Amino acid sequence: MSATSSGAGCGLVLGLVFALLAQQFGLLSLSQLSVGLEALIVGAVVGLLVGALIGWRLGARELARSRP
Amino acid sequence: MRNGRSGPQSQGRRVLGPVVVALGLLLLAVPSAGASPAASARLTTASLSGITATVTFNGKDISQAPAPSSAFSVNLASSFDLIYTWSSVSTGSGVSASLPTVNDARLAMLFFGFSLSTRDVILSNAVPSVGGRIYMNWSPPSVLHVLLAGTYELTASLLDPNGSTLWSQNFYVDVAAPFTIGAVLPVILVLIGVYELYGLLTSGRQARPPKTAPKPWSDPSAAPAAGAGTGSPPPTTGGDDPEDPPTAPGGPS
Repeated sequence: MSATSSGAGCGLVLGLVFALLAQQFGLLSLSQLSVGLEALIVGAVVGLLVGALIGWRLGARELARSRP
Repeated sequence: MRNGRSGPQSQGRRVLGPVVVALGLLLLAVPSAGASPAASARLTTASLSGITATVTFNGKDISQAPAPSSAFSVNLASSFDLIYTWSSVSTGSGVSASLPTVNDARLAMLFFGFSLSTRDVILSNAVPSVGGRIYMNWSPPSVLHVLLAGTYELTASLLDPNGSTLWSQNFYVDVAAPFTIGAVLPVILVLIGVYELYGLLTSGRQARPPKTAPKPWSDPSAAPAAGAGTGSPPPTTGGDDPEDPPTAPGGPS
């Protein structure tokens, strides 16, 4: 598994967790199905993209560090 | 090859940049998603079929909490008193022609569109009338008190004997977790978040080239030494059938 895909996977889960935690702390209401799905999809997509970006940057840094 | 690398602090800033941008995007996205239920609550407040009603939740009119921002703060460990007061909608010449029959007062707590808890007060001898009052005491299931926190939507509705909704109104409650963050669901979510954040911050290790490990069993003198250390018997070629019961040394006395 590459660093980018690993970061994307972690970011996706983090996006979902962030949306659910926002509801648990009263920042967001997920009572309606459409609103809940919208929030989860937005969280998952943003988390996936940002996680992939972070994984890619960290992987590139790790490669540069390991070069002789 | 980049020669202009300026140390780990600069690299850390470059990595933290996307994190800050992501959090900003999510914070921007969350209020836009949360704005929808308030609008939908306002739309469903209107009476549906010739009656108008007011409902009090522990003495407060539920029309005071039409949005998550104005939700009632509640603790699900306690019980709640609701009073449904309804009346027929009068026209210009008087009461509407067909009097409604209110048979059922219902309170439902919703999550993702599904009902977490429903409480019904059914009138056994409902007759058409110009108005009435229904008392309800709602004690949420104790598992919800342990499990949940946050903002939830409740729907108070009045139904006729056929089960059709005569009137309904949505309102919001802000459920306080035991010990502020003691509910099971947020604790589990925080633990998952910490685990995934650690996985994200260490995802760069996936790009690390594999180290050339020394081949196992390359030193023939190391194998007997390792076996002797564990005290395990030497492998045998026969008698490894798992069906064979082990024989105790000496046998039963």
